[in-house]
Amino acid sequence: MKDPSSLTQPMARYKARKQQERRDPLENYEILGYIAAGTYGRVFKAKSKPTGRLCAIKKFKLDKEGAASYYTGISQSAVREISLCRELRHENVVALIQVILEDKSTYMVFDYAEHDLLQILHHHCHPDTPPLAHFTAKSIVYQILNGLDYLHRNWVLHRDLKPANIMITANGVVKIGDLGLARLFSDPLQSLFSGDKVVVTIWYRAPELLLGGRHYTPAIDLWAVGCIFAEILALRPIFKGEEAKMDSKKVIPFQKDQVQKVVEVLGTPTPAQWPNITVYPDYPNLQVMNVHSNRLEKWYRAIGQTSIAGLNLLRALFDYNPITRVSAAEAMTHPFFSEEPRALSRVFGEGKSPYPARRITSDTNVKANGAPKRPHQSTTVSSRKKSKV
Amino acid sequence: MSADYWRSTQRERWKFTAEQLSKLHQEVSHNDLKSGIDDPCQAWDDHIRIYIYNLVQTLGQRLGCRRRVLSTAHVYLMRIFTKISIHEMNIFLLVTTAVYVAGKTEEQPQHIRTISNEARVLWTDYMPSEATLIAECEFYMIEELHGCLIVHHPYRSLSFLCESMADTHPWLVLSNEEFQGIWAVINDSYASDIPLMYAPHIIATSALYMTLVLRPQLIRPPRPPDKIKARIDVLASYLGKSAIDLEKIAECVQELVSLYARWETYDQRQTHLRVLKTLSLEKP
Repeated sequence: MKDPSSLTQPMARYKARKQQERRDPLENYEILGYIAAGTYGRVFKAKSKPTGRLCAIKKFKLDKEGAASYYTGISQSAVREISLCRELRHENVVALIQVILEDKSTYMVFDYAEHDLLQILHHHCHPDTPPLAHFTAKSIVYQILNGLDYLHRNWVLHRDLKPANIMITANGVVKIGDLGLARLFSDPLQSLFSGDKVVVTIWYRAPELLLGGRHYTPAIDLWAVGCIFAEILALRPIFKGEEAKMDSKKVIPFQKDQVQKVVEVLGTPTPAQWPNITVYPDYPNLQVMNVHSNRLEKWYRAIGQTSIAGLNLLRALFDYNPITRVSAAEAMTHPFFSEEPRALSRVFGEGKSPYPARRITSDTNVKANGAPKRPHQSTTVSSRKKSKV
Repeated sequence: MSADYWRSTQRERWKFTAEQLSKLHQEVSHNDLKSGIDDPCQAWDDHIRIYIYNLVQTLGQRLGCRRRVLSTAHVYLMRIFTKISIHEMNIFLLVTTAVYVAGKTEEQPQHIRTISNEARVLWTDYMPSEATLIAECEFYMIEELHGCLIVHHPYRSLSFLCESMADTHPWLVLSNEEFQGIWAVINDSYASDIPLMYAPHIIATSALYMTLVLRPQLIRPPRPPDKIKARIDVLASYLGKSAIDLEKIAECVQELVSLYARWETYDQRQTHLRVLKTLSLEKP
């Protein structure tokens, strides 16, 4: 007759063997401090004890708060990020060192990057800092495109590109990070829309998504690169709209304010520019809005930019029609990158990083599940936060 | 790279030769011996492999899973059983967990409660009732797999092969029945370790060869018999000119042939009893 323990303790024998073999893999890392809380969890700065290599350890949030006492399934986004990062290897994509499953929690260990683009842009917002060097700006954009081209060639859509997800190492190499929303688009069994409803921070959201489009293509990532490029030049987000929240009926709202911000700069899109625009569900909502003309060039001059090639690249990235919008590979061969100053493989040039190191707090309790205090934020950060909420 | 088999973890970390596989399985049974399991009828073998294949199929059909989800689950299990023994975990739980994780990887997630309930309906006496055990098992599974969850299957290679053949010679256009036949052989290959040993395009080509050359009598000939020979010659010349490793195809075809031979002698009832014995062993 069957032994009931195979039902109540179905893994007993396995666990007994594992217990003998295993050491706590987190013991291999010295936790140096707490960096930040992202959408999917908390990030710590750590040092590998055997190698001395600096790492960022991302601990995934448990699906339910207070669920630490029993196992909950690993979230879809964690599975996605783990499985994609395992396969991806590129100079401009953040490298996964190890996956640790311990104490009912999931940890991903990445190579450490001293800076992120958001932090660098904030740094330049202080009135007494010198402006962001032209070659640095150009090199950052080029390396983002290079990493993105790799992702797209491998049928991976990032879907959440924004300055906070663009890491930059102390020696000046861009690493695209946070693949928690990334998806393979080669042969999705489900339409890419049905998985999750919230994709891409609204300021970086492509017009085809803002108009209710459900068809994800690599072009949505290129729009976000356009927004990031503009933000690097202007040191502030170019389309800083207010997000319309979902109402109680769970109807996905029309993002009117965000659309407004886009058309105020790029002009109201017309079927001549974008033949398929009329089929988008929210096209009627756009038609009742005031008509604007394109003043991107004015915007570009107003922030003190003079390169015509740079303006043309921005136009190509902000092509309303996703079908004709420039691809990452095409953008890398744009004349903007062949005019001086040239893009460099180290975005800070030969010298050291001119930016302050990442701030960390002394909280080193990686195993605790409560939310630790946020690191001290500069005034620009908090004002930015406020304007977003 | 996720779309590129040649730089995938599947090729670089999870591809084995027959010798390597048998060595791994030996190590696993050596561990069993150390913990006092020395009944040879409890050992891992090809029939238990087929039995587990059937478990995945049964659960998958019940859940309405897409084929690729099941194929991915099969591969997870094959990889797991190179490292752990069937005595170390309740295999009904392991199978259920593999289908659960594969659903997430293939972006066709099912709720853990749904999967747990359906598995309980199928295997009332053998499947643990708590869904959290699936979540715990998932944890161990992803760890044993080192987070390598993306699996390349032969289906895409098959589509590519069909297009390329159709472009090469009109006689190489496949009928719908032939395509279905090849597809079925690919599916059957998951009842063996073939997916751990060969690249997806090798498996696809071998399944094609099996279907068109070795088993054509199963498919109504679309043209008179003398044309069949001529067509095989065209196919042989096509494969000869392709860059595909013909030696590997010969090996893989041989593996498929022996799989079908094993299937002939497979006894579901007897294997089932053997598997139940693995559940009834005393736990430490």
